[in-house]
Formats: sequence, C-alpha cells, structure tokens
Amino acid sequence: MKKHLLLLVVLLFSLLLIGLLSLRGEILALAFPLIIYLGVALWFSPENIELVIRREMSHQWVSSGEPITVHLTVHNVGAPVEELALLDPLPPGVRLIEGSTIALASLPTGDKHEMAYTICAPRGEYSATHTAVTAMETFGLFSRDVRLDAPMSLRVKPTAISMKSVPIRPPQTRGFSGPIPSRQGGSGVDFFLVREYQSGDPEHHINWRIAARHPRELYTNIYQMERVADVGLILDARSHVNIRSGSDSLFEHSVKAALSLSDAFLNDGNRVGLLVYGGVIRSVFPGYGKIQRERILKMLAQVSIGHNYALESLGYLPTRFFPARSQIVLISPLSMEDVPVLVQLRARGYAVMVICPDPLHFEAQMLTQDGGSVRNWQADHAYRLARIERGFVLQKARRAGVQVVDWRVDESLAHAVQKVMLGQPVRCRLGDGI
Amino acid sequence: MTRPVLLICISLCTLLLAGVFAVTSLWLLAATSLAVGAGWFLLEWRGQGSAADAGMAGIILLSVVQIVFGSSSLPMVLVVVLALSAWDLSRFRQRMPGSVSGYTVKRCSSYKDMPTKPESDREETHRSIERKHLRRLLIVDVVGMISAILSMGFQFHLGFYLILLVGGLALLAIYRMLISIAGFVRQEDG
Repeated sequence: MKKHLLLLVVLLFSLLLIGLLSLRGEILALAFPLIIYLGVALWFSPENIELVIRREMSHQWVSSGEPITVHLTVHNVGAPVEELALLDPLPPGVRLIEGSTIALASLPTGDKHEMAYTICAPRGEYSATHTAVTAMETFGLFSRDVRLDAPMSLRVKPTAISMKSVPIRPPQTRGFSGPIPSRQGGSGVDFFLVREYQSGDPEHHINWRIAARHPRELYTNIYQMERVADVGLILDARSHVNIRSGSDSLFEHSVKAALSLSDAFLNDGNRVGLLVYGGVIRSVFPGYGKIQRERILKMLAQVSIGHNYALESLGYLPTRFFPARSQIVLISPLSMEDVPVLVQLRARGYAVMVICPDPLHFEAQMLTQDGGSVRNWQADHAYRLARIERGFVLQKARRAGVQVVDWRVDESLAHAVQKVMLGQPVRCRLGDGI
Repeated sequence: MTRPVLLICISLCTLLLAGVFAVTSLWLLAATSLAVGAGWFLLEWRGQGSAADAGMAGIILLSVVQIVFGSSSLPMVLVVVLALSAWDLSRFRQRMPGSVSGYTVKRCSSYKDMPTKPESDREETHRSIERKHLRRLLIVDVVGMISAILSMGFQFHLGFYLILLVGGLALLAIYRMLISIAGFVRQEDG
C-alpha cells in the first residue's frame, strides 16, 4: 500500500519538477490526472473504524476429519467503509476445505457482512484470537489495519479403534463386580475350589461327586469372584522413540490405541487412569465411567510428542500414580533402555502389558516398493538387523513377565492383542507369574 | 470485467505512445514504448501484477520524453490517464480475493459443487465493488483528462511577486499534502 502511494507521489513531483525545470506547461499538465486521483483517494480515505465481529462455529469438539463450518459476521457501527478486506487466519494444521478465509466487502454504516467457510483438522487443540481487517478507500491507496477480537477454540478428538474386552489379570482387584477373575472365592461363574461344607452354603453348590466318595462329609464348590480392577495407561510421548513419516506419525497410532484401550477397560467397569510421558508429564487421575472417558479424550486431544532431557528414559515414571499391584498398560514403541524399567515395574508387583507400535514396519513402509521388500540391499540388511535387535528387546521384556503386543499399525489392534493373549501359556495369560 | 478493461488500457496507451513516437520518427523510443507496454501486457495476461508499478512509471516517463523531444502533448494526456487506469485496475485485481491470488475455492466438477448461496452472494458483492470502482475511476479519469487538456490551453502572465506568491502557496499545498500522507501512514503503522 505504502509502496504504491510512494510511487504515485514520486511520479507526481517528478512531473512537477521536470515541468518547472524545462519550462514546459504540458508536462505540468500531465500531473493533473495524478493529482486528482491522489486527491480523491485522500478525500475518501477511511476514518475511525468501528466494527463488531461475531464468530459462530458449528462444532467446537469434533472428531478428526469432521468438517466444521465457521460463520463470521462483521457489523459496521461506525463510518462507512468503501472496501473492507477480511482475513481470518487459520491456526497451523487446520485445513480449509470449502469457502474462503478472505473476503472483500463494502460496508455502509449499519450494514453487515457475513462470511462462511468449512475447515477440518487432525487431532489436536487449536485456537485463534483475532481477525485481521483492512479498511480502505476504493483506490486502495489509504488504508487502516485493525485486529478484531474473534476468539476461536477448537478441539479435535482422536478416533478410537473398535475393540472388545481386553482380558487382563492384575494381582489385585477392587471391591466391585466386574469381568476380571479376582483369585478369591465367592459368587461367580468360573469354578475356583472345593472346600468342606459350612452351614449356610447353598444346597445347589454342594459337590455331590466328592460327597459320594466321602459318606460322612459334604463339600461345596466355590466359584471365583469377578471384580473390576485399576488400570493405568501410560502413553509414551517422547520424541526420540516416536517416528514421523511425512504427515503420518507413529504417535498418532499410539494415541488411537490409548483411546481404544481406555474405552475397552472403562466399558468393562474398570477404574482407568492415564499418564502421558513425554516433554512433560500429564495425567488423568483414575476414575470410572463416561465422565472419565471424556477426561481421557480431552487429554488425548491435547497431547503431543515432546523432548525433555530429564525424561529421556522411562526411569522417572511416577509409579505411585498407579495403585499397588494394579494393571499397567504401556503404549510405547520401546527402546533398549526401557526394558529395565519394565522389569522394575514387574518386581514392584504390577501386571504390565506393553502395546508396542512397530516403528520398524512403520518406517519400512516409506521405503517399500509396492508393499514388497525394502528399496535396496543395504536398506534390506539394515532392516533385518534392526528387526533382530527389536526382537531381542521384546524377548527381554517377555522374559520378565511382561505381556508384549507387537502391533503393526496397519493391522487391527484388537487382532494383535487377541493373538498375543491366545498365544501365551495359561500362566502368563492369567498374569500370575510374578 | 476488470481484466479486459485493464488489457485494453495497456494496449491503447502503448500503441498511442509508440504511434506518436513513430509519427515523429523517433523509432528507438517507439520500440522502447512497445517493449515496455508488451512486457506489462504479457505479465498482466499471465495474472502477474508485479509489473504494474514499473509499467506505469515507464509509460509516464516516456510520455514526458515525447513532450520534450516531440511536439504532441494532447495524446500524452490520454496516455497518462490510460496508464494510471491500468495501474489502478492491476492493483484492484490483486486485492480481489479469488481472481489473482487464487485464494478461492472449490472448482465445480459436478452439479453438487455448484456455488452455494453464500458463494454466489460473495460473487455479487465482488461485482458490486468492481462496478463502483470502475465508475469512480471513470469519473476521475474524465475529470483528470479534461483538467489537463484545459490547463494546456490556458495561458496567463504573472508578475514576479505573484509568481513568488503562487510558488509559496504551491509549496504550502505540497507540504500540507506530505504531512497528511505521513500522518496517515503513521496511523496505518499503529
């Protein structure tokens, strides 16, 4: 704007100067159209601008990829504005899918201008504070820039992968009925043990086969009580273990897995807490039900990977956040240094399950040609060596009694979990090998 | 609508300038005028408004040269007015979202993608701004041209003290104008 104005003024004075120096009135006359143009622009230049802006959004809490329609209404309560350029800047990451965030309008006093556009965004939390407005006269030489407060707050939640119940067996359960066998006799479905009959035992629980072998004694079947448990989800958000490939990130798959698992555990009635371990430690205290699901969803919508020298290792995991002898589910690609921490957790009495999104497979997908082998023989060898090293890491964790779900992110998480549960010996499946 | 008007303005002012140079046998300057005008025209044709400043400055300077070395001054007023209009329209096109900068929008690939109500409203708003702009530009051009032509045929003799007075008033007017522009630019800054 200033550049154009400067050019016009320079040309105007150049014409005047040349005309005066050369004593040619015709050259002076050439300056007249420029003088009139500049004069008209100056005459109609915008005065004080008084605009009121209002923003309306169709949703503020949406799923990833869901379109959001934004309506902006600008109301002129001051002097008329000949040209009004509106620019509503989108927060980084938000994508415009329809309409425009830029508008040009003419606003007489008391008039309104409405603009609408549709956006969508990946998981995250987004905010914008203002809309940039430029008022100018018709020739666009004189303008005034104003920033109007029009706050926008948008939270995009991750999408969950559909999962059925995840079978866990923590050493300690809580007092309420649930789906997890509690290693205590009582009312239940699964047979637990047989003991001598005590007065008050229901008649239909008497084990008549054993009673037949012992004519003077009666025995009662005791069933295993099924209870809910404490489940602590740990989401690994450390930047050095989470790989990015173009616009895709392994961490996004971890977030989806965390949400799916929390849904599955909460649906079973368990008490679930979440700890995000990355650039900072963030947590959702353990709780039950739909409100807890919302809390976890909000947290998962906000989290991002980060780096913190103090939290490079899982060694500073605040284990006291989780109740003793509860179930811990770690969602992490795992590195070699993390295995001793898992062993420590097992030694402290926690039942530990690791959902391990496979970083090698994820990275190799970048290099693969039509889904076959990796691009060249060096990469192929490197992939095989890395695969061996990773197998070794996972094997060490398994030997410590950790349930490891090696999950290729392009496969179903439920299928991967089921495969591990069925493939493990009964002792490990039951989780009592402490 | 502005694009054809812009291209016509550039073509006319270039051809007029080159033609007047050719009539006065200033072939090199005629070729220079054609080169400047053609360059500006081509860039505007491709939707790049970056050459507008240089184009207008070049055409005006060449018209001054024509007056100094040649003899035709009346066509040069028209050349200046046309160059000014082309420059203004080029800047206007750059300001209009969706026309040059490519901010909008969704291309219509099927009937489902046909412009919705708000989009057609926006186009209507743009058209009305465009009409208003062209109307005002036409008035400014006509008034500017008439005043320039009138001033050419207007001669008067002034005494020395009167010239000093007029010069002083002119300087004062220029000073006031500069202050006004500087004040506006300061306000624009913040």
